Amino acid sequence: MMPAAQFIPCGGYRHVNELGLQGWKCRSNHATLLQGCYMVSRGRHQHNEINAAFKVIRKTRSLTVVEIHKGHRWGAIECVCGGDPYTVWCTPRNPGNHARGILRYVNTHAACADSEDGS
Amino acid sequence: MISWDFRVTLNRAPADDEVDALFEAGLDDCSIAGGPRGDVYLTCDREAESMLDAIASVIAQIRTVPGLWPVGVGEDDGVTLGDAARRHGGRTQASLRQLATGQRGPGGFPEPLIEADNISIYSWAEISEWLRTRMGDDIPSENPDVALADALVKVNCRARAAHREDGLRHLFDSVA
Repeated sequence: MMPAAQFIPCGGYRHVNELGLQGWKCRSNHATLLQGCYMVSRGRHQHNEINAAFKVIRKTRSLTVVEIHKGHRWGAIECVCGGDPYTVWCTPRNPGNHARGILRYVNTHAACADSEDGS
Repeated sequence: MISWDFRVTLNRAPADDEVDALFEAGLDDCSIAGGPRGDVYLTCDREAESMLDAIASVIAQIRTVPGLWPVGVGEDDGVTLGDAARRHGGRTQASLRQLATGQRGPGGFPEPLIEADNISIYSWAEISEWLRTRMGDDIPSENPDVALADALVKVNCRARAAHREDGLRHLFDSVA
């Protein structure tokens, strides 16, 4: 029987089903751990192209990367302008194209912080 | 197969379950995003034989989710050199790269707006203007396929608002 309050770190690329850890909670409280999702450390996507786009976002004042881990969504990119966030999938069909899409969103919203400051 | 990039504006923001439904309908090569003016759209990179085929397949998948429909089709200003070559139609990606690096051409190619590892995003408006003025390229101000699809989607929205969708379909079959 599984102890009720067991926590494990979720870092690394190991599949929780293979480890027999279904139902355990991770320290970061990642809901997807319970679904047998491949987990990487917090704030990182499993595709490096997308992580490279996140690096640009973290340097952009108006944008924030938010982890959601719900359904097919890994997370979203939110803008201070209040426009609908950009959906980041867990398993996009083509990670390179998805990263390009993220950078296009950055291009569209990069100036939003300036206009918020000005208003 | 060529990957075509375009955006399809939706009638409203999808709810959480609709986001997953869109993904499962096959739109895992598109992403949902919103503009500063409150519009909600899908940014798409769809592999297809032609731009019109790509737009048609995306719209067909959107229509599988009840309550969501397209209200417009357009293009993003942000492009990679590969995207720019596809939009241009008369130059290859290699040709644009040589112009961008200054190996060929008069120099002064527009700088990328954003760079991340090996992806550089340029402004299509700046590139197309530079190619027109400095290289004498003949580039239409808008993609004719995207403009056609946008016009058809907007006519369909008007027909939907007036409850004349069947009538429009009949008219379109007669004209086409």
